[in-house]
Amino acid sequence: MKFITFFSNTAILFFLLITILFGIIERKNVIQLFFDGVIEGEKIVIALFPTLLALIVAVEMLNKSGIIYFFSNLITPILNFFKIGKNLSSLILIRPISGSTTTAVATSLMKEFGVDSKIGLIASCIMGSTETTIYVASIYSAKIKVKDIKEVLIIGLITDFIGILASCLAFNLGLMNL
Amino acid sequence: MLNLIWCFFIIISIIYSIFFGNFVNVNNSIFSGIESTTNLIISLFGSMCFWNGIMNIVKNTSMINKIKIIINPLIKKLFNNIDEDSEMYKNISMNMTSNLLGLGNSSTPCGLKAIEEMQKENPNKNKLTNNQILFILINTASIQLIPTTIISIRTSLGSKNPSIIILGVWFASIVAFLSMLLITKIYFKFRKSI
Repeated sequence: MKFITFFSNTAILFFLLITILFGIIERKNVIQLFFDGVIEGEKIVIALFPTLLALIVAVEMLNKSGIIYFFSNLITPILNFFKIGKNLSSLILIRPISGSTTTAVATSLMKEFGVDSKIGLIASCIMGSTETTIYVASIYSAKIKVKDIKEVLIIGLITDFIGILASCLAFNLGLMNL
Repeated sequence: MLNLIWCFFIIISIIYSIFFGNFVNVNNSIFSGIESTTNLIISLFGSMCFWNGIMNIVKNTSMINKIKIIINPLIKKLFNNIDEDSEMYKNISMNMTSNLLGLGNSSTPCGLKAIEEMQKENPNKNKLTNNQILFILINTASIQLIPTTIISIRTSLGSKNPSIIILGVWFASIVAFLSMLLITKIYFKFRKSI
């Protein structure tokens, strides 16, 4: 497992080193490029704030009211069949629909069970390896005014589910061991 | 969509909690929710700005061309009848590269341009072509070089090693991506035969 820890800890450093070297060799003003990116990043985060605020509060309310267990129970049989912990069901249900709600649900899961716990790690992995399929498919199809997108949705959702299974597998294979 | 989800979440939590006597917890959760958003946004602020800055260096050096060299053969293999000099090809290439770098702000505009170009060549305007289906599906899959958002969320929650998930995320997203390609290709064979 040493290798995995080593790899996860050096991947970012290596990437950073190559990036800076490219900038220097091509005689770019590296720090100015960095600043420009940061300013653009500020706008992204500020634009994200209202949605996150709205949804994290709503998800916390949902969690504390206890009704989330009612919804989660709806897909528990499927999850049991694939041996996925039922605590992840709320995350799995919301993942394809909304990115910020996913962030809210994942954050509350990691807070409840611990960020480095099994659930915390699998939740992180699910968030990173799947996309908001329904949302993405609808903005692209709306742009070209095509209404019939059922094949895209079906394949996209199957793929998301494979991503979820693969996330659990990644944990069981020890790819995320601390 | 978000409007419906939000209103539904709040209404249903309040009604359910009143029925089951949980309303004190729900009331407190409003304040704890506000606090966790504030903590999260502060840590996201630093992290997302930092990575956006780094990715901006990548975008403005020839490093991005090196990444395109890896992606281009894939585009040629995946899409049918695609002209390498066309505007569509450039947009697809830029869209996939930005996705890989986690630059959502530049990937979506290129992606939307690409799908419009594809629509011009579409004989039946009410149905998606094979190339369009594949392109949308590629955008619903997520392969990211560095999953920065999750790393920053993990940092804000006090993880001992926020970036430990990188290998797992790569593994899961590549498995999902490859199965998506396989399912799509099988579907296309089936689709032609109808």
